[in-house]
Amino acid sequence: MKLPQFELHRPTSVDAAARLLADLGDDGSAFSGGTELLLAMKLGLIKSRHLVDLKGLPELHGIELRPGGVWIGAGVTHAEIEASPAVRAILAPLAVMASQIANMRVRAVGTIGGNLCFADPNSDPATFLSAVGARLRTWVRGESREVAPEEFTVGPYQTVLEPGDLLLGVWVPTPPPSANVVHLRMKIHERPSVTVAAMVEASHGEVVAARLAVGSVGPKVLQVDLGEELRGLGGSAYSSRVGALVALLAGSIPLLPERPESPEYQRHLVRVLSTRALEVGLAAATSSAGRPAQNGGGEA
Amino acid sequence: MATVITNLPSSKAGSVGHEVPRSDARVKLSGKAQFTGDIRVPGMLYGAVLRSPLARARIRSVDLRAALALDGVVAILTGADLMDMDPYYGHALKDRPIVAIDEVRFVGEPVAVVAASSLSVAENAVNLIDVVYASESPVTSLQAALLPDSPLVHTKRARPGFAHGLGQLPDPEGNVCYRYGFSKGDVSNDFVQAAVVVEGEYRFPAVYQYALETHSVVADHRGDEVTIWASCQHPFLVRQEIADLFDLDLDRVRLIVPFLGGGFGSKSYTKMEPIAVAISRKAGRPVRVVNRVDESMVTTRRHNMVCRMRTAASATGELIAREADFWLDTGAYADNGPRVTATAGDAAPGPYRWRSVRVDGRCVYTNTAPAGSYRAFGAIHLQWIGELQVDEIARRLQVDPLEFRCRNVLPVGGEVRAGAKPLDADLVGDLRKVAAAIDWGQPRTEGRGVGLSVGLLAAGAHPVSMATVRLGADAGATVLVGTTEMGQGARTAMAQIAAEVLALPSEQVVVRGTDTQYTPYDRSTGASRSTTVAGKAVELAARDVLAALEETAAAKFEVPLDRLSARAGGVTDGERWISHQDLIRARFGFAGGELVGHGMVQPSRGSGSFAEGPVFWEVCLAAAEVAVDPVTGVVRVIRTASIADVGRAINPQLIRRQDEGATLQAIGNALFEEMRYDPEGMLLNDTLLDYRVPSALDVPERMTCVIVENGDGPGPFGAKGCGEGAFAGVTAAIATAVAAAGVPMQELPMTPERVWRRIQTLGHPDREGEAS
Repeated sequence: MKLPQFELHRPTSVDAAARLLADLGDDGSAFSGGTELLLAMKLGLIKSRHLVDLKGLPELHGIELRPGGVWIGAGVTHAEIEASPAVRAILAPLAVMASQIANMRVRAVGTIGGNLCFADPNSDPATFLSAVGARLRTWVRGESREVAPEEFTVGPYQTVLEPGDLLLGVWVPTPPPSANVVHLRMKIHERPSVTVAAMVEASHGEVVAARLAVGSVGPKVLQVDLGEELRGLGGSAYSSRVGALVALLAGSIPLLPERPESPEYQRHLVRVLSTRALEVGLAAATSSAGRPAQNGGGEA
Repeated sequence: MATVITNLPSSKAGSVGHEVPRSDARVKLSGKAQFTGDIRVPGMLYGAVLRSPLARARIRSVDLRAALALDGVVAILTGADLMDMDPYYGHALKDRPIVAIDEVRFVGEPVAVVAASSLSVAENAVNLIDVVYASESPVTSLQAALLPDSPLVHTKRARPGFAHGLGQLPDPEGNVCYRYGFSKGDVSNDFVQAAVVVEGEYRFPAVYQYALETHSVVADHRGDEVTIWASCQHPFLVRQEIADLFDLDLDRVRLIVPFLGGGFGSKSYTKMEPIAVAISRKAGRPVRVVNRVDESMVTTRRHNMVCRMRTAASATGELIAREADFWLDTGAYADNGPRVTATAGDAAPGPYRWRSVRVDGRCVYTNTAPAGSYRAFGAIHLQWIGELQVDEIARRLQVDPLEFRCRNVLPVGGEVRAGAKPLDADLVGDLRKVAAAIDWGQPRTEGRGVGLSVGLLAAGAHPVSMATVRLGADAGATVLVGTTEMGQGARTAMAQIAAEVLALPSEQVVVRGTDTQYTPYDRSTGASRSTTVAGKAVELAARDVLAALEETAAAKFEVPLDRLSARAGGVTDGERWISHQDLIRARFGFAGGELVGHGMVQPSRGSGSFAEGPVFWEVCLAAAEVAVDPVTGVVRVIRTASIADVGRAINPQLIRRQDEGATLQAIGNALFEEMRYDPEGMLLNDTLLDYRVPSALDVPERMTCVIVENGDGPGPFGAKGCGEGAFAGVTAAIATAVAAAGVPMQELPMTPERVWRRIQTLGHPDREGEAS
């Protein structure tokens, strides 16, 4: 259970880091907060003999308000997101979500990029970012590219990145003024068993756009755009349509095998949390139309 | 020169009954406290254990060549090294080999131990050991173990261990290794006559004690003696077992116990010590063996259980009869299973005035990790079941559960069990106090439930403890007592007891860890016994010192002894006062010497078999308010109240901390803790990611500990123990509260999914599982 020996590399540019990782191939791992990587190495699950420390890359740091949204570098810690005035200004629920990740020690060193790249299916950020339409900026064979969070993850602990590719940061667009973001999760064990995030945009009590993301139950985040299905609906028509859509989703969502909870109960939770998120989403969007309406996250 | 003062110093408030700060707080908070894992001995090697990946298999061959070739490996121990001794141990049943011999009986059983120059070399060597197993079909559940044609986990008849103390061993009966039962009255007839009968089958999970510190040992075996630093709760019992096992004289086995990072029963009796001694014997050097968490989780655990119980009452609201059959899964080796079975049996009736009772408990071997002691064992297994049935009867008779209990509980002096000590607590008084603390009878919000529970736990274990108090020339006292400080505050309480007798400030009394070479004998630290039994020995030892001081003072003041008493660090006859220092100086004639006092507690009668106890009946009485979310099945504990019926509170603050800790553990045991095994006997959740323990987020909005001081305990100043009762009491109160919220559960833990499923069933009465 001791950390095996490794060589630590400290590149100072994205290019150098990417080249180093490409050369090392499976023998190298990108290293930032280390909250997942070092544990996996202690357990012998990852046997990299070279760690490439990305903390020295200036491009990966900083949270910046820009026209239309906020840029969060991949090397930004959860604690920095939690405390960021820029994040709170455009999307307070993101700060709340970050404040609920793991524990204070993990949040102090663990990074948003590390979390997304480790791709643990029982995790909140990917689900949340997927619902708010965030885009991940990657560095793939010397080129900058953009990918949606739900596309970035391929499966448990697997992303689209190849050795030598890097995640540079996350672009979070400012939600429309009449949109509301709701993040709910249920923790039965240490990590969330179900994570649900919804963004509902409404006008005069009727839906303009709606997006739902469900994570922690399946191998990767499932994101569905419900805009077409729900547009123009409000009140009981909305509720009954949400009920039907969510029942369909809960019944068909792929689940991870060998979980302590039965598939039946997991699907029940997906249905309950998704319904709550979409209902609260519309109610709050309606009650605060015209202002940047946002709802905090919470435990189910 | 001795100074006699006629202007008496004020009698500063005594030590007992005061919230004296913990004497170990500073060293622990500053990181200076020493635990076994911190100990480094010159020449010490590091041990690592190869554990079985299979639950039941024959060992075909063990090839050590590659491991021995590794640079830094000094020795490897296997079953083949144990041929020159009787390598089986176990304080209750001598059924366990130091390391596996020819066969393995659970996933995680030690097969070989490597001693090497560093931990990483030792761990690498473990991975190079090549063992060929022939797998056999394992018995991994109670159900499988009890089938008539089940394979036997042990084929040889068990031998009684050195601390068996549980009467005759039963005849071999499949995988049942111990059986405990009793009956009184005509149970069958009473059930026929009864107006109301409630019955059901109930399940209790295997859980892990989860002390923060894992099992840790450093052993140094040389020649005909061995020194062991160990994280053990019962150093003197471990000494005895090691002496027996390795055929050494008792005084050649030395146990040194620094602070423990929590015990809760997980470090009761012998655990990793035999392995450490055996590898040190082979290596010829001291060896350190420290478990990882996943290794400690297969070293000991709490017994899972199946219980069938039924309870009968008359139409006029009297409880008349109870029957309980239960099966405790003790895993591959008995460990403390027989005692757990007996204690569970004693707890099964609950403290009520039965006309008839029948209890039959079996302790069953399976191919899973051995199960042993854990805080409130036995009582926690049975109390929630009995109390759920009491509540159901009260509901059907439309009687308030509090009044129903007050009407039916045993009075002071009532017979708890034939041949045992009569009830030594006022349960009606305790019930009224706990009810007041939870605002019993007040209207509740929808989805909330409030529950009560009352039970008794045979406490104190075997009452044998010695203590020595030394009063130095500077009037500082040192207490030598074998109680292990494992977070409960024992050293603080012991200091207070000695300080009270000698009228010293408790900071002036030092209590250190046990070193069996110098510390007098104490049976064990557990069963809520330390303050009561070891504390009594400390009180007597301090009184012995005081007697010597008073003897000198009597001569000096020329007054009879009965005129003298201790006051403010000295002795007074009511008019004059002289300090302890001056008395010591006067006695020895120079500025030196010391007074040494001895105290001894021994059984007042009999040979110490189980039928003669207990030292006292620990009251397990609590109330809880819960909120049940009918949609997700999540149960939240809103408030709890527990009774600490302690006779006399030596340190009220330490008592409250005991009940708070027990309450949190009860919340874990009742709501989410559960060790899950796959059909092959592999533990599935051996990390904190998957095995959830209570955290600060699970703390109820309010926890009230009601301290009851009736002065009715056998310990110092009328004290009796506490700390375990709340665990059984709160667990049962959470179960009755969830039932009061409309969801009677028959299986712990009450996970969200189980509660949700139960609610689904309750919605369809024809699908209801519970018999009536």
